Amino acid sequence: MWVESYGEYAEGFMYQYATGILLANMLGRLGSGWHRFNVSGVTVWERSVSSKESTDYLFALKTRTDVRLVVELTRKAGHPSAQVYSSTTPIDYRILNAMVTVDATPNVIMKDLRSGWVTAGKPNYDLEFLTHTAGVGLPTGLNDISRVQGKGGVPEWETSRLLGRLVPTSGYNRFNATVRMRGAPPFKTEKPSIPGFPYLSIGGSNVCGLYVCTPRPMYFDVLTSTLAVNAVVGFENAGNYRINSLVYPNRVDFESPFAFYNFLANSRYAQLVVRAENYPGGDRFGFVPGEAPFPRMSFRYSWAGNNPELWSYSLNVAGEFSFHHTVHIGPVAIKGVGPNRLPSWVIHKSWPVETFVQAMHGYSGSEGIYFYTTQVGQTWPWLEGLATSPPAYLSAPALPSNLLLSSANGPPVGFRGDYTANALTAPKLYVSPVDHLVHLIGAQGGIWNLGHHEFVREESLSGGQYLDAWILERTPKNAKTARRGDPIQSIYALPPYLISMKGHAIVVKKASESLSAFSISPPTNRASWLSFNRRVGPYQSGRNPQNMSAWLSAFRGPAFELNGVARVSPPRIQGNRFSLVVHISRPLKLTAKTLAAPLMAVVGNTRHKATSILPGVYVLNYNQKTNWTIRAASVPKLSASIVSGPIHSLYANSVKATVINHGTSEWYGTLRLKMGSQTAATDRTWIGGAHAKTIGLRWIPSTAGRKTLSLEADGRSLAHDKILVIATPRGSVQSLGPLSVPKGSAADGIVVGLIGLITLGGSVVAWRRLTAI
Amino acid sequence: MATIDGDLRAKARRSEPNLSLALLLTVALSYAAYFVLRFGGLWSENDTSVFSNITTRMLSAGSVLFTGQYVHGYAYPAWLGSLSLLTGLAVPVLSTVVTPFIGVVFLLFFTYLPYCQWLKTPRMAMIGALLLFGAPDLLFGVLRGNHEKLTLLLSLAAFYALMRGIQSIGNQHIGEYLAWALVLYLSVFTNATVNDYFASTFVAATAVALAVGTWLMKRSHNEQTVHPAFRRLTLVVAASWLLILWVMFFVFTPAGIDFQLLRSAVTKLLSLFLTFHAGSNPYTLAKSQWANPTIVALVAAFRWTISLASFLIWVAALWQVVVQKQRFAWSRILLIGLYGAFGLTIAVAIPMDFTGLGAGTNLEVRNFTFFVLFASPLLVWGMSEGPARNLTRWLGAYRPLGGMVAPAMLVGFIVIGLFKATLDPIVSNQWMFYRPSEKQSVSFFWAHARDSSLWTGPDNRVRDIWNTLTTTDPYNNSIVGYAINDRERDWLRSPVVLANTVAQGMAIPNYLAQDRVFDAGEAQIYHIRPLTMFQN
Repeated sequence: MWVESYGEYAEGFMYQYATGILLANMLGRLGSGWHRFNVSGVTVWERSVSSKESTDYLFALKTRTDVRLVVELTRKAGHPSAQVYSSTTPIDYRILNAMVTVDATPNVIMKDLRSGWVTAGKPNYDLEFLTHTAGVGLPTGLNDISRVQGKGGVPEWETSRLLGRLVPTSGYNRFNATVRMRGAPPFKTEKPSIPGFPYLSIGGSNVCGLYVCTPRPMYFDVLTSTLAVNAVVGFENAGNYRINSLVYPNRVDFESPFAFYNFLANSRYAQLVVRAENYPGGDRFGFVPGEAPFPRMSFRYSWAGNNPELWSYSLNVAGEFSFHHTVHIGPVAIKGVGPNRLPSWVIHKSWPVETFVQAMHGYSGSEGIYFYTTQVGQTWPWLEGLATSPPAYLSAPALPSNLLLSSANGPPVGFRGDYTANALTAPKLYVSPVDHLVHLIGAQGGIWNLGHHEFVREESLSGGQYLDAWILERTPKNAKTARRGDPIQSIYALPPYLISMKGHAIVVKKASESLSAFSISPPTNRASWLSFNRRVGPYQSGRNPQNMSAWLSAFRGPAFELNGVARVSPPRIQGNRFSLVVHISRPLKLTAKTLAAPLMAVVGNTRHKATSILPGVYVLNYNQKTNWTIRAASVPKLSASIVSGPIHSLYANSVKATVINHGTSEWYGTLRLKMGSQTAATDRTWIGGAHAKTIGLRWIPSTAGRKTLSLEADGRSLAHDKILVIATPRGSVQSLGPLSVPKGSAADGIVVGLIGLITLGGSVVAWRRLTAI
Repeated sequence: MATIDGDLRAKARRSEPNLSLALLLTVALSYAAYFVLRFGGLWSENDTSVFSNITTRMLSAGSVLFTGQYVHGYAYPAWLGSLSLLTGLAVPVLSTVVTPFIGVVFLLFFTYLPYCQWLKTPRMAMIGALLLFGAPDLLFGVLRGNHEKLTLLLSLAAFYALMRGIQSIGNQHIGEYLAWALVLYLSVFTNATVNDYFASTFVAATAVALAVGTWLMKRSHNEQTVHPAFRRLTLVVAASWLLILWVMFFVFTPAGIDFQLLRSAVTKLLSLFLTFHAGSNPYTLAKSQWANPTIVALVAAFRWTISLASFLIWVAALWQVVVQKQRFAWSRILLIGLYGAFGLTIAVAIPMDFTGLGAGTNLEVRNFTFFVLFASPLLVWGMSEGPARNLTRWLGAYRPLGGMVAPAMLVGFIVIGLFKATLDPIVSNQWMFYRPSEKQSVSFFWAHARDSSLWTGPDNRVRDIWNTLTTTDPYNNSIVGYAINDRERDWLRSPVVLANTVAQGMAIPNYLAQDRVFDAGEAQIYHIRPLTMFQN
């Protein structure tokens, strides 16, 4: 390209030199007609050259010879047309007969589809323009073909298609569209730099910001000498409904749609952003693990709290849905949901995977809250049935310490999030009276990242609608995810009791409150947003996570305290019963006269006087019928035996393993069947105290021979057996080919018969000939 | 008495070509009948499935230009489709039951004709053609339902027309020459519309043969015959290239994709030679295809025997021409040149197969089918009147033992070849037949499953069969083979699937404690028990 330009330039130079025009041209280039102004500390020289056919505007930086921007305005077939040239190096141009010729490809060619750029003092937004697109990773020779329409000086919609020699498998932004939504804030833009051509502004550091105004369609930055082509209707400011698609309409993908809603008049900040990441079935782009026959749809749904300029909450959802409605943007039809219905559409669908995130101190930006989202690849193997366990990042998310986009897999410091990986209903929120925060109804758990390697793990031990466990944990410094850390303190809400554990003390308090103060839906419009903030306002900060035992003071009811407890297992819930295994290290005195009463009765003190429990391991049970009970327990101790029949290679074989728990407390973990050092099969199970369990473990040995089979639990070998894996023979394959005429087709039979006759005839003829010799 | 005896001998000589042909026809049709009947017509394989599918879709589209067409040429589907329309037989029936017979008849006639030109007597030509039945790779090519039967037919027709054309020039019969030239160009053009790659191979090899032949003629001072015969050949090659390019650029533009393939092949070859890192190793695969190492040796025996024997004769003939400057007839020189040229295509194909080219990694095998067409007459010529004739006489002196060995070996090779060509389970780990119950099970899955994959065995046996029989995909289902993927929630279980999986040394899926959702008696479909709410 450069060589061609140079060649043409050299040719023109020789011609001008030969005809003596060169001198005149040079004088013209340096001559009068220039005037200067200052932009961001840079001197900009401007000159216009007019002829009957065109008017050219030249803009030079610092000196008049250094022209970096040329705008040529002409009229073609009755319509105004503009060609804009921009370069980071001086532009080669010639002036001949009051006409400017530029030896380069224009960056932008713009055409007004009406009769003039300006009507009644307002810009015409009925434009068609072609932008020469260049960028890192993009092939050369690409163009964006854009179409804009509006009225009264306000652009209402625009579409843009990327055309050129595109690599089909590369995910370019092939189609974009923006629609100005009803109720959008007033359209504000900058002062144009060329009178009568209201689509270009020249600036530097004073570029009009996203929340101040919408830049002109073209913006020339004098500091970098680059020309930016902007979205005409607006970009990520309130009142825009945008489509960013990697494929052409109508089954658009990626950010289709990306909508920015304003609930406050005149605010260019959005108070609700709804961002899809949507790939229809068979779409070749999108989430790893690649193309799938199923639709993959996910949404980020973030809204502001009482500070309308900061995001406070975000709901993230994912599921195998696709759009069936058609939305028209100018002449283009796409599959989607229009801006007015979109929030309700998202909120009223039953998304199987959901996360709910709160930025405890708010989060700025135009696109919502990125973190702990469902818009990641790990979601899909689970949703598509390829994985048998939910994405690991949900229960053990990353704990990022910064706010980078790569923190999608976890809440950064100052953020918290709940998740569910198998929701059956539309997303709804509630306020927990325990921690005084908003949560997702049906959440299976969550993480509140406090920083300094500390976080609060939230869980729903009962598997019900509300969270019932809060555990403050500390992870090792090198831990990258919120795997189980050391519990520092915890609160369990096991109706009708709240149990606080901290250090060597357990406090049990009876509380009759529901686990939900009230439920509420995410806002979908101005009214519900205002209502949401009014109701949820008092619950934005929550209780102090560093002092959980103090949370109990908010509840009225009798309590008892167990001191001198060395170790406590997390509660295990079964229906309306729960139990705790406590390791008591020194004699424990029960002194309370209230709740301790039934407990004392159990240990033999029927007079409700102070009594003590001897050191040891105990199981503390609560049952609505029998109330509290306590019994001595021993830690789980397993032994096992393996029984296997004849084992054949290449076939699935079953081994029966009988595991006995000699302890009185139950064991929960993974049994591992190993052949040599290789794990052949695993089984995650629980075995009650003083109980035995027989399980079948299946595996397929790939090789034959003598092997050692062993059963392991908690990394300890429980049993082993020497086995002989019998080689599976190749089999009696001679009988496999059916030597018969296929049934069900008369044509087949006739053809085979005819061919048989021909073969027989040929043989007879050959035989007769041979015998005749 | 002497007169009667003389009449009988004369009659026998006159009837010799007919007798030879009748014998050949009997062998050929018996071979095809075995191929079809061994599995009762219930067979298919990759190419058969691809072309049956394409032809059926072409007939539905009503045009040779349609989405998903075979991009290397339209003529084979067009020919097969025309046969279907003419006979009223379904395309799969034609492909699996009828065209194997047509293929062997084509092979028989169009090898016999040029062989009669290259070899002295029809009996020799018959032996040459009979030798081909010991080459299962060649027979598999013409029996299965792909374009190779037409490719071979048209290539051989072009050779025959070329030689007859040269003869016509020698006899000053210009009208006859023009007729043969027309046949030649028509053959090349049609060949290019069948498959532009193989047509190009034919032309490229002919060009090499021309160059080698011209040089050999000069070395043996046969200069007086060089100009009329081989100059004509030069024009043929030039015109043939134009015909192929015409097809690729104008007649059937989708074939232009082969230029991209060529670029990709060059890039991959460069990468192979610069890094010595092979994209694939088709030879490992070939070894694992057969039941045991003895079988591997047996099924490759004919290939090695004919290649080695013909190569020795070729080297000896070259020695006679180049060093001893013996004069050979132009047709023999042409045969020597063509042998060398097609041998070269095999040598080029070997590194190409190591590149793992997208279009296939079996070029060496497919070029061998051309090569053996020239190896066979060269061997017969070499043994009867060429450099190895003394060896033949020496062997002949030990009759009946000497006279029995060669026919017995040929019969042995043909029998082994029959097993190889039919991928019989006795010798092969990769099979091409199916049971009616398997078809019934897959039909059920196809009609009742939605967006699902059915695993059907350790390779694409059932998938190929299914693609042969059906072209519609109403519910976005797929039939798959090889290693089991997480997406496959349904498995086909049949005695053939089990035996084939074991034969290929793969683990049989765990059918224990899964849901049996369909049972056709002998074959069943198992559905993997869902463990999460998202598994169907």
